[in-house]
Amino acid sequence: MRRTWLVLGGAVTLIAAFVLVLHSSSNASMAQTRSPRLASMEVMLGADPQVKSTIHRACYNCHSDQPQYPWYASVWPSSSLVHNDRQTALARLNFSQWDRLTPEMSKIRLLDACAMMTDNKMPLWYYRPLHPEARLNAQEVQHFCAWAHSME
Amino acid sequence: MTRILATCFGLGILLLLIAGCGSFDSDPSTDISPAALRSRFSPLEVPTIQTSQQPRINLGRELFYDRRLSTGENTSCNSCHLLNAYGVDGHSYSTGHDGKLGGRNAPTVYNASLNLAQFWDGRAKDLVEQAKGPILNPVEMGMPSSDEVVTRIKSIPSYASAFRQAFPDSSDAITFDHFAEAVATFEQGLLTPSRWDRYLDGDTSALNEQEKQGLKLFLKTGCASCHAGRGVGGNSYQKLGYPKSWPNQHDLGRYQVTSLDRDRMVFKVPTLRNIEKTGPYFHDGQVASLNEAIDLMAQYQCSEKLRSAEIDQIATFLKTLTGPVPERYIANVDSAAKDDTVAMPRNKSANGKGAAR
Repeated sequence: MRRTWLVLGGAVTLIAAFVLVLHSSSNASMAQTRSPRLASMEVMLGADPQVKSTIHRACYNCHSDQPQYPWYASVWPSSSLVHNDRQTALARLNFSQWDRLTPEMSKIRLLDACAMMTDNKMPLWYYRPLHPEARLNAQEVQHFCAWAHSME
Repeated sequence: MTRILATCFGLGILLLLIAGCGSFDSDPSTDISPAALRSRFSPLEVPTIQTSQQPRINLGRELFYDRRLSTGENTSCNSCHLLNAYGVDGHSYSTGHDGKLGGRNAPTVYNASLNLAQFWDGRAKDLVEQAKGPILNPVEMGMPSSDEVVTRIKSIPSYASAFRQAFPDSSDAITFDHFAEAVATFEQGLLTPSRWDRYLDGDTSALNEQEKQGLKLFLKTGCASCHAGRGVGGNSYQKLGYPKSWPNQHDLGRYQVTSLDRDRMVFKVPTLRNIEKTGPYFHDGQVASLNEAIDLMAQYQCSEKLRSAEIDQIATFLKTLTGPVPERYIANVDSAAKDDTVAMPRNKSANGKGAAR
């Protein structure tokens, strides 16, 4: 029994060491160079208050230069997963860098986002349990899509 | 007790593992019906040329091929953007009028009018602005100034009437701005619709089964996140090497234009139209094969390691984006000629260094 506790204690110490070592590097690598607000989708396209509210609440953590990191984003191993997933998310859609798109691409990205929400693929199912605020109701999705289509 | 602790620990780790932002679903739709695809892609059509534009197009074509408009009278636009070779010269870097190499791979001029901006770093907002660049670039055509360009053009008698016809409302027709406008007007017609466009228009037989499988994989891998729209690219800037860092960090791309940190390693997403014909690939032209380029893009932009057979599949699809070169349009027939036959560029065999390499 005593040996088990020693092994368990050793494992915990090792994990704590990992966390300490990786905490700073993980945070540093997650730091984003922020884009000016004028470059954001909501400013460039003049999004209405509900659209703004929806994307800030449900999308911005992964799809903008302004994430609100949860505590586990600083704890290994989840930190590296959050980092990798956010990078992938930003590569596909970044609401903060709308100035990098033509009107044609802007429309494609908005309709993509609408389709992902409508099909209940976004936010991702495993993101929702720890981020209940990111859940979207039907009215919010409908409103976002109607607004996205009005941009055509 | 140990079992309970171990279970709690395991559950905790599991929760942390799944609590991240998660991967974007790169497969928004595997529906490859033309109707479904048109939410993301648009067919390319070649507009009918208006009669009033014809003199300007003819002039632009003539200027495009004219090697006398370089310091050494040995380099034209066509030297690096060979119109009968899909608008590229096939080299990693192009050689300028005095034998020096340019700093980036020469992108194709075909379908360039679909781009959101010109050059790899987007430093020219349109084709007119772009046309003013290489002619004055010391390592390209090397003309010392815009005034010198005008003087050179004025020294060639045949241009006087061509400029007058192209710009009939101008008292001073031969100007540097008009030179650029004429070249840009000609380049706007360098369009190459392909079987892909027929497919988007509803002809589902335009792509065979292998090509359709490649298309599905192209979508599933996430390539269409950036390579979409009418140009299948060319309509956004993206960071090269994202999420995974690109190996060559020497050329910082758009950062050299804006000096903004957020633009480090950001480049214009190139069009994929005619991609099988426009290698070597990327801004540094360091990748010779299309398959290797697909492999790198999947790894560095989409976080996907594709199998060799999958790369082949995507390449098979990409080849459907190759359209025929508009031979009649690019034929450098003397504007005085009324010959309807297709003529090849008059300086094809003396293409400066472009053909010599």
